[in-house]
Amino acid sequence: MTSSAQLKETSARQVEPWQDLSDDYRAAATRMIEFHMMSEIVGPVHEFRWVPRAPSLQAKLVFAAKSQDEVGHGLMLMRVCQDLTGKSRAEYMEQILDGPPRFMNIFHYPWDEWVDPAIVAWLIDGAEIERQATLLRSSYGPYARAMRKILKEEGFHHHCGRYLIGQMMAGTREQRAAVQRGVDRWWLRTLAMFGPRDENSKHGPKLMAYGLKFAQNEALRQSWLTKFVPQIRAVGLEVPDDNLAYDGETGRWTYTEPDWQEFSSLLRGGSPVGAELQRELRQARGISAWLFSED
Amino acid sequence: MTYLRTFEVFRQKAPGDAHVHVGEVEAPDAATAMVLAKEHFARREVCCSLWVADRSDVLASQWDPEVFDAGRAKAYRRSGGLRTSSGAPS
Amino acid sequence: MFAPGPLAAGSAVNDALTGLADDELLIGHVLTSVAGWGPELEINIALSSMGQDEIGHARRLYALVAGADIERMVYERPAIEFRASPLARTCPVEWELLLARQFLYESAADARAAVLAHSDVGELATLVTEMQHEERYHLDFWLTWLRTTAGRSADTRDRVQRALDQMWPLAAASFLPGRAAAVEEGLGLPDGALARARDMWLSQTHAACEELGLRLRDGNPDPQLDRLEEMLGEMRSVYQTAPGRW
Repeated sequence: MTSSAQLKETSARQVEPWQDLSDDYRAAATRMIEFHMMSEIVGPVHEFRWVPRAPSLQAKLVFAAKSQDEVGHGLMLMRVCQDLTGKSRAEYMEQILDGPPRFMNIFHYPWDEWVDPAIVAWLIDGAEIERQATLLRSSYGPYARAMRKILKEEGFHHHCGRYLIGQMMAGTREQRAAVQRGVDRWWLRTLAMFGPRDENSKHGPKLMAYGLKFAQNEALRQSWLTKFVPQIRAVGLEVPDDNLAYDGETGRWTYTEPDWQEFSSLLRGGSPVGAELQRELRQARGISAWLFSED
Repeated sequence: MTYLRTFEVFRQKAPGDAHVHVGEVEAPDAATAMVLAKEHFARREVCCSLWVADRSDVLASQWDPEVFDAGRAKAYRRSGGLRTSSGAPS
Repeated sequence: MFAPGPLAAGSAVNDALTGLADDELLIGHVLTSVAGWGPELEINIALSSMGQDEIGHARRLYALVAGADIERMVYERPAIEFRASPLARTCPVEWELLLARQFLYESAADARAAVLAHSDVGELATLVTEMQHEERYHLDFWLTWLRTTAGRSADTRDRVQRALDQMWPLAAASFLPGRAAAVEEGLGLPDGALARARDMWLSQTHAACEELGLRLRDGNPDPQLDRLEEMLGEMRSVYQTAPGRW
């Protein structure tokens, strides 16, 4: 058995699923990667409701390619999880469709307007790039490898979001107002997405000790603010936070705290919106389930 | 026995390059694995040829990395490690 | 004779190429949409790719018939002006229906492209030749899945057979454009080239199915399978909130 100290030591050379990993390491890796996987499989349900409605041919192609990438990410992470735990595709799908809703907070809110997927692509896929770049060094080899392809594609998604938002900002006054309302809706959810400050995070310290993740939640949030506050303002939108300020001396942003109670209740208990995503995906897969069902 | 099998996918970037392992797809058979692998692993990436191989046909080594290191440790296998008896490089 | 740029509305060639573009648009619309809801993740990725290919083809075909007016063709043109074939007007979601529809559509497109690639209208011949590279994979994909799906068990073969029974009457009516002789003349194709391609497609498709224990049985097309208006309604639902500004 590999002790956590040994693992940290050997994390430079990354481990593979067939190696003799401690139960604790396996459990920690499983928890983290399953969460990521489920987000990438359930989240696109929101997007695929909008693919048929994309309002220009260019938007249709760009958005189809983006949502297709997300399916690919779900698949790669599914493969990583399957090899880590030995569960079959069918077992994992059952867990995802019928099990507890362990996925990112942003999928627990309704995406009722075309601006919603566009803002998520722009702001949140942009945020994911920050986090995932650090995961290229993750001690779990298959996860780090998957991240290389995923990261490249998230870069495209961010640009896809910028494009779609840019088109709307060049449109009518009503379209610009709709984008602003979208930013207002998504601002605190996006800040919350990075997770609580690390001293309040339950699993963070262990994941860091195992070299499964590297960046602190708050550090990622700060670096996102540095990048995105100017971007949001540059396209003529307002950041909906009166408390937002940058301290040049400490190099840190202060901001209105998201509702952390809401955040943890979504991640722990789910939401009607999240349950609907699971239900919709279950129903869709059910239609063609005969194709792969065991005899 | 599950109906879906795991296929390892290997991608060749350009003629003359080696086929390099890029990941897996699950499919009922090799032919379907191939048409699935193409879009999963070669829709964005440069590619001129793909292989798929049933995972159950792959044997993975069970040696620790150190077992491989031992082979590389032999100085006489490297050109820089050779010296004539007078001590001059050959 | 075909001239680059917008064709005379209502000409046989204009109608035929508009029909091809409409077909590709609707097929692409369905494939990119259904990619969220298909049977398995790997398949969904491929569905979306093929759908994107078709939308790309539609865009280039619309450019041939409508010049710069492509978005209007897609987002504003009245449904009654669509020249889409009966097969492309269906909106299959179930795997067996999608499989049957796509196999028939792609094999017909392949046979038709082999003729159109020899058009003396340079732009069309070039476009069709480029499309053939993508269509080659599409046809391989659907033929491979037809074999695997129908070959698994008596039950799965029955499912595919029932789907073919629904789709085949539509496909049989989909191959030739209206006023085929005028289209051949306008595109510089030999007399009867399209009809000969259709005959070859018929015999090849019958043979491919027979090999798998499937049959292409004549029947009456079900008018309820025509979902054009519904698909256009969904496609345009956001666009209509602010026309022309996306």
